[in-house]
Amino acid sequence: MNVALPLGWAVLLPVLLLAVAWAAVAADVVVAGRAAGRPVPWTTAAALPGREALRLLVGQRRRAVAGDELLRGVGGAVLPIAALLAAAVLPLGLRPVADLGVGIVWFNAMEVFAWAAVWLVGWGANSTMSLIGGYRFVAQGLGWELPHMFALITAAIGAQSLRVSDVVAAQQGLWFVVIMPVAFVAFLLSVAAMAFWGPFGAPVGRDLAGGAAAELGGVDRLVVLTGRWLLLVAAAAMAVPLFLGGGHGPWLPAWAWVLVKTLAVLAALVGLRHRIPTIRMERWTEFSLVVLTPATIAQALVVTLVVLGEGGV
Amino acid sequence: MDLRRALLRAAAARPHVLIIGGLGTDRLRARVEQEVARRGWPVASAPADADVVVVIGRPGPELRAVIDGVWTGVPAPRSQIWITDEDEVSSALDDSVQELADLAAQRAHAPRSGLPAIHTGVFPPEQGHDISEQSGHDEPGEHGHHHHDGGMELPGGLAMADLGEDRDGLALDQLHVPLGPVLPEWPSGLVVDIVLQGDVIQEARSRFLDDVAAVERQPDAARALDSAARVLALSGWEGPAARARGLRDVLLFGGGETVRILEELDDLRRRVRRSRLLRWVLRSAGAGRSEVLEALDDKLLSARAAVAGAGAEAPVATDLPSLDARLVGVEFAAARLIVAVADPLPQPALARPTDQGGAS
Repeated sequence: MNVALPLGWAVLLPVLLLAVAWAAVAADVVVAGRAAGRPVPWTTAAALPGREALRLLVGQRRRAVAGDELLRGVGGAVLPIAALLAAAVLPLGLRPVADLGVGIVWFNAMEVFAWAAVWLVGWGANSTMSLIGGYRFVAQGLGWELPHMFALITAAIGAQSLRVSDVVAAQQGLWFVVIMPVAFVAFLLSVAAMAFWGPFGAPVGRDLAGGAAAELGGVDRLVVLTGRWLLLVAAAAMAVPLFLGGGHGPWLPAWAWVLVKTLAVLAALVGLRHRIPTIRMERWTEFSLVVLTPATIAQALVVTLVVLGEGGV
Repeated sequence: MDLRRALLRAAAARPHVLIIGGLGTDRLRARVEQEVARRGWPVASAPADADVVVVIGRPGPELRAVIDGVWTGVPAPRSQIWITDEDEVSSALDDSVQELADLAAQRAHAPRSGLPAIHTGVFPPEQGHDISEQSGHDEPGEHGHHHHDGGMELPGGLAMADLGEDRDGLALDQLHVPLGPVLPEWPSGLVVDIVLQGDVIQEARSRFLDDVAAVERQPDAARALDSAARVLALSGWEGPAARARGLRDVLLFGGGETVRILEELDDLRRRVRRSRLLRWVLRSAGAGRSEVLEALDDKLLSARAAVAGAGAEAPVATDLPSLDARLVGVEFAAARLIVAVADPLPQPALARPTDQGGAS
């Protein structure tokens, strides 16, 4: 059964994503100020995303000698587009913009574009720092992709469907986070990792003078940084239909529940970010492959057995 | 036109600042960093991210060449200010905002002949030549390859990567890159010429730009805190790093009671020691990396001892050859931490009987 929203929502979707990303950036500034012992007033923080965007729009673009401008440009543009396409299967309430039968696979496929995007941006700039940033993201990707896929599959097994709206419908009684907590945690980790953000920010780290984004100026920088926040918001919002019951909840309408839950997930991520140091690649790949991947496989197995026990499949 | 002016003014309100200084400018740098933090302006990570380039002290010829290179890579609207005295800091930063918002001045900065072309310093000189490029990761062609002439000229005047054996004996690309002196969380005036394969350092030779005879030394506590702040920032703990810098500023420029400083130092030290994640991130099987956390703790402890006035032991400063030895074979992220911890000083400042001169 196709329950997609009217087409007009496709226009509204980027606006919604940008608005939530704006709020997330502002909250991040406030939390960062508090962590540094220099509190930033709410009013300043709320205007800050716009101010930074304006600064980059006014700023000049740059190009590197013998850099691959085409690859770099494509890489930068892919980030926000991938985030937007991934968000298309996100139920805004109980219905998504595009209710694909393979919604979960679609979401995963769009997220994987980030691999190519960051690598292309890092490679195209023709700079050592950017290149190392690209390497780091590929290493990081190898680490997060497997646990991420198992986490997605676990939710799909629980609902016995790859359609995201079916996953939401299956959580009418019980949120999936209760029966698949490991998958939920793995999913949240991979959200930050795929958006190369916070503790997983090494590909654009300060030690690399900005890493993959080191050589970007003006609007190029704006597109990449915005794409990164959109990716984070889209992926964090996906945790709601997959694990947190989607639009289900008392009193409020479904869309309000989705918004509240998405903001809560983002708040948790932003709050934790400033307590956790940047995770180095060698540590992360080790943890991811030795601990996280087996744990998510075991989680998928347990959920499968429960579903079979209940007479499913 | 009015709209353009208004946009420019709004964009200039919170500029990103890139601070460049040679050896011995640490006190002035601290003063600038303090003022920048007070205004809530971010410190730029790279020339591409900068609006204002603050040159502190009186840079020597080598550093001056680097600054020229960096300047070509800063996108307009941009402003360059030189600060030689602590009293000028605030007014100079005000001036830079004025300049950023000045349409006519920015027109002069940004030539109409297309986008600026930037050499990113990726490519190595010819093999067998001395690896003494003079700049950070951004430099214009004129500076980028003038000492390795005779090689094959490629588009943009850039040479190709070398081939060399990696840790497992595979032949892979090698890059000859100078690290510093314009890098975030990097000791003033230091340049490390490295041979890089992937992100593993195979050779390293560090030197200081511009042979500075008499280096003004920071008080030990401030120096230790500065280095600790760099380590914390590189580990991704921006909050505690900013707090360590705040403490350093109080030590250098006053504005706090000793009791409060000690309390905050203890608090910082407790956080560092208690963080299991920090220990997990900094610990590794490789050389030198498990030492980072210990060194960080030592630095905070020695800063505390110096503030408390109890038997201030001289901080352990590494000399350049031993720094080079520790950098070989480690990964880039680890190398950055090692440099931040080592906080090397040129030879004369090490108070050694053998006076060999600072940079080589």
